[in-house]
Amino acid sequence: MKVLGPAHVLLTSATLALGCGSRTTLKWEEGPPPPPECLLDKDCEGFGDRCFPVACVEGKCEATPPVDCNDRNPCTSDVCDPNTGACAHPLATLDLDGDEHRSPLPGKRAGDPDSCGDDCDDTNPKALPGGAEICDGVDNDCNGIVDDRATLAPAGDAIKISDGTTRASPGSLAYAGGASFLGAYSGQVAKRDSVYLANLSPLVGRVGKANRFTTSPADAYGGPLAWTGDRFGIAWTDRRDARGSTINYEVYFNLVNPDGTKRTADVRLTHADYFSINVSMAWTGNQFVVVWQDDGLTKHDDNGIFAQRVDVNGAAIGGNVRLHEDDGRGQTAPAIAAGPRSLGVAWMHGDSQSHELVFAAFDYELAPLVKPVSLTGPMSPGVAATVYFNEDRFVILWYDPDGPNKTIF
Amino acid sequence: MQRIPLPLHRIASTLALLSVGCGGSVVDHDATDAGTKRDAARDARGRDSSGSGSGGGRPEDARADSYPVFREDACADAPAETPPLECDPFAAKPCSGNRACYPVPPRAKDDCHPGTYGTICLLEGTGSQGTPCGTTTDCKGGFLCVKTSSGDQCVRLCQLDKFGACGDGRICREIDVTGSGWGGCE
Repeated sequence: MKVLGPAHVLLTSATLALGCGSRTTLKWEEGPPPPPECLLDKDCEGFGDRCFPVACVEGKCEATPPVDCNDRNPCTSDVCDPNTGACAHPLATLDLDGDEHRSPLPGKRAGDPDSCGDDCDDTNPKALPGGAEICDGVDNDCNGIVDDRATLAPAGDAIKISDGTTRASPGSLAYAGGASFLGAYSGQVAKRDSVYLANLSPLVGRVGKANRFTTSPADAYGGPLAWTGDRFGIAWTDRRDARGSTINYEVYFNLVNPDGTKRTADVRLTHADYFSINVSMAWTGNQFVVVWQDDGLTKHDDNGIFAQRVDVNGAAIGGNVRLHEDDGRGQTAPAIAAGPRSLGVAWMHGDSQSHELVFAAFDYELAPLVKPVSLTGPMSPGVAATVYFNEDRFVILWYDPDGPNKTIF
Repeated sequence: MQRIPLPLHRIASTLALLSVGCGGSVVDHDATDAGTKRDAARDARGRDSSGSGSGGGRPEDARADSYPVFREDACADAPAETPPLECDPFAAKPCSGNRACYPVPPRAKDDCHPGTYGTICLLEGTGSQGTPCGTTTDCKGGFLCVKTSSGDQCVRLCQLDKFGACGDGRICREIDVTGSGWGGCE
């Protein structure tokens, strides 16, 4: 709390003496002379700070010129010691990782002229200007490029995994943590197509022989894989249920152990004649969601996109759900990915001569979150949409051979 | 998106009287048969909680790391069937009158007898490459109605093992007339 000084007391006393409502013309200078603000330097507030010295001059405290420590160097912090008034100029940047290169000033880019630091990553001693770039996911030489000259080409020769089958076609590849992958493909033996699984390691290639996963003699094709943390889910389409004159592909699901063995009995997800095909699948963290195209479940035998939820033990949750009713022009080739709170599904809408790529988001119970949006104009040959979730958004890729230079978008 | 053989569209729905083989054949092969040839020396200790399933078999829980393994019953091997070929779809005039020769995909008699492909003469359609279709007979001779990722369409029939089978830059892709060696130009 601030204590009133002598001059204030005098003025107040004078006002009071004049009674309520009165105005005075008195000025404080006109009163008795005030006592001095100070007699000595030490009476002044801030006395003792040699950087911002004060002095008592004729009874008044006056600031004297502060110590100027500015060395005009942006890369230093200019410091004045209040006890001594001495200047110091330590560097304004740090070298926390001990690689003898300093981080840039806040808001500056490493290596820029006024950045005062050229370490592009001061948390990693393997990143420093002049460092030797190696393929380790680090910008070792601080040139702004992680793993210069790295390509998406395989580190070694391609690994053949479909030994023993003919007319093999890829299904999917799933990462199972550590150094383990599981690959799924369709292959033909004795003129029958089946789904095979192959355990893969980046170090040794295929681990053991591929397993024939679908054991029915009927043709089977697929299948997308998804890893939950302790098991895979797999979906595929096969025609074991076709009878008599009816063509019938149905969608099946099962769980796969880390070694590729089957965990339970095959679970049939669809129960309608004709074509339930083109299966895609995602794992949300607590359920699988399988999507496919179906012309046996729609009102007018056109192709529609359907989905089915499956729990972690392989039991269907609810029934087949049509994701979007449209004008009957046909929905084909769905692809699905799971985000933290939503599912992203892309599909082709139209017929073989004019179709467009459509995307829509759904919640985990398959309720639409937004209306489908068209991502392309009409295409005639454009195909093969793929959806991924990356950080905070869905990324959709597709192939349009009529685009410039046969573009993948 | 996965690539699967182009499924022939609903030709079978027009072929109610067509007989395409009986009995099936599944023979052992180089790749391990995960369902039927699995090591039987496992402890059977339980199964997952999922109750719904299809197909015969029984669960086993036997691995050292204790996850359940399901063991399926195998179909007995059966002799290969002879495809019922009424006509040659690559012949210049395979059928009489205004009919054309169309492949027919296999259809099963039961779980262990998936049937075999065949061919049949049917009234010829008019659709050519890329024409939207509903059944194979919407397409003219030498073409098939198949399901593709860009809709149901007529594609030219081709031979998978023949170099440049499509001749127009298209690729001869396998169709689900399994075992025939025939494909569709896409």
